[in-house]
Amino acid sequence: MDMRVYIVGETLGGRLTEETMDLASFVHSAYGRMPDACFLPSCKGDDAAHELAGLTGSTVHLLRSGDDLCPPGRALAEKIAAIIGEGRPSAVFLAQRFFGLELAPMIALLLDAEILTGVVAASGWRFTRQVYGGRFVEHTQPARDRVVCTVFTSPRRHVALEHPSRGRVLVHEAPPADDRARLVGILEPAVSTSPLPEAEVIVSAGRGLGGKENLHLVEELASLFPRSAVGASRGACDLGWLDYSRQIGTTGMSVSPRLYIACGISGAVQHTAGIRGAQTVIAVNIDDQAPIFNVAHIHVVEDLKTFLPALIDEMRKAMAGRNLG
Amino acid sequence: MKVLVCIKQVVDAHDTVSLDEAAGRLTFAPKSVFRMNRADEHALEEALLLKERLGEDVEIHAVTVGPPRAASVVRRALEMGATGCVHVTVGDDGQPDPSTTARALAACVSRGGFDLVLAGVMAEDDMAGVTGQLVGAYLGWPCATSVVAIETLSPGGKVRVTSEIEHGYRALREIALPAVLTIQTGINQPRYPRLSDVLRARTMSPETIPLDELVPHQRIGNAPKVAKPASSRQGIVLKGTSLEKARALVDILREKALIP
Ligand SMILES: Cc1cc2nc3c(=O)[nH]c(=O)nc-3n(C[C@H](O)[C@H](O)[C@H](O)COP(=O)(O)OP(=O)(O)OC[C@H]3O[C@@H](n4cnc5c(N)ncnc54)[C@H](O)[C@@H]3O)c2cc1C
Repeated sequence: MDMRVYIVGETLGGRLTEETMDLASFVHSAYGRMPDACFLPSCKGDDAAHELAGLTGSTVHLLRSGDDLCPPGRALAEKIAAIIGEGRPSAVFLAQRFFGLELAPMIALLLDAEILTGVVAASGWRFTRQVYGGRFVEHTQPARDRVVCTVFTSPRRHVALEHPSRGRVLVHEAPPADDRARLVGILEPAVSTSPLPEAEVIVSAGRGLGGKENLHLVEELASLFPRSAVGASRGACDLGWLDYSRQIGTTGMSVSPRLYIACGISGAVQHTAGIRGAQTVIAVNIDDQAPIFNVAHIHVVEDLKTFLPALIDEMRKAMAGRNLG
Repeated sequence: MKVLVCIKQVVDAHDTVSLDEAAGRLTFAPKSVFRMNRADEHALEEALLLKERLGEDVEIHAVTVGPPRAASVVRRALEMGATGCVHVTVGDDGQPDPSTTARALAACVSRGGFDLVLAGVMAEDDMAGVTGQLVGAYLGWPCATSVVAIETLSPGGKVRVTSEIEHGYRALREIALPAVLTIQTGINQPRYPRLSDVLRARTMSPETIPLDELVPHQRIGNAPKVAKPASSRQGIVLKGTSLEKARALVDILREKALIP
């Protein structure tokens, strides 16, 4: 199919984000070529733009913008839509993050494109998106000839061009920010006092815990491991069972313990994005179809309310036996 | 000030949803229970809190776009304390795509003269996460997503909102009304209906408007085909009784030198 493929990248502190490279690699694996052009909204991303041009060989439109983390509103979308212009069928890809989810719908509207979020695969004019927390996917072939997608990027081997031919960088001045949505400031992450980054073993609780009265089960299990900590899904934090400093995932912490035990966590991509660094993942879930089993190394299909006490018991016995012997 | 809260009915437990592979469609088990999408419940609660802060001249309306069974979530909104509600009706088990839904919601906003629209950040079923933004885009209103705090600066005039970005970053913005905000879970603890509100809700009935009337020229897209995700499962599945699995796991932990 004769189509144009675009990506909208991101920078942070003037540097290209990992997700932008993941996005370029996503396009490359889906279409066998690099994007026809890249957009890079950034406040001071000159070096990043040249880096992206070098990596992709594509034309990079550096769109000077007020802030790296927060899109300035409709004017930026208008600029991107104007550059894409009329003509051939086109697909625009953004990372499914705060930035992309604020910007993509406006670009779609201006291009009269279909919008697809939660995209995990693309091939030609067929797009695959996640539904039901990753339990199912939807395959879509948009009826319109333009589509704007936000993609759940995942770290992949970044493809480098075989014949690097440095793409051009075109600089566009900042579109005026929308004064109806004025950015007052970006708040930096709070200084973390969380024990999660240091922990070698993390036992995490999700909604499947059933109630705060069962929290002692994950706490007890964790206490049997040296250098351990208790973590949580957002679902469990939202219910007030655990503090948000324990939340793991895209809007929480990214962790890389030797062992991660997910108890009653369904495995939504926003959660599992935070445990990519874990060496071994054990999932305890009552539902054998739960998406957490797509990333777990050891599957325990059990009700945690009966399984965790049994496991705690067996571990105690085994450890006591070892001490005696 | 008039606030419209957009709510969606979703199925409660995902393990009661099954796939008709031939048709590429999902079907609900007879025992499936439907409820309000969690993020939307937080959005409604936030509207009710605004009303408590700003006083009685704040009106809160709830709207849902969905099949006949979705009437239960607007009823629930009345029980939680909404002033009025609208059900934009769709046939059978159908749920229009986010763009059509957003067009219908934008039409409701124009009809009702609202100043502020709140929606959940994402629906748990189709996980689109764009309906709120599209409502804003259609109306030409500013929109802030993933909102975790709202401060009113001047009633009916401006709000100061905090949006959650990834990895602990937050954006603080001043948004001029009329505007759309999408609400992230955890911003508040949704209330249980009070008996007086439950009784009040019994005397009210939602206004119903057929979707076709609100959005006369719907664009017919290609219906997506639902499937199982390409399996990437490769773990060890523990077998046996609960106790046997516990023992097997202890052996594995030992082998991996994770316990002494
Ligand atoms: C913008 C955005 C950002 C987000 N960021 C994050 C994030 O950083 N971290 C995060 O975790 N989520 C995040 N989420 C939310 C995420 O999409 C999921 O909603 C959340 O992870 C679900 O939490 P859960 O797995 O605990 O709950 P559920 O999805 O409700 O899963 C509960 C699980 O428990 C199982 N279960 C039930 N009973 C038992 C039992 N007795 N024994 C064993 N298992 C049982 C069920 O089978 C189910 O799989 C974000 C969402 C959005 C929209």
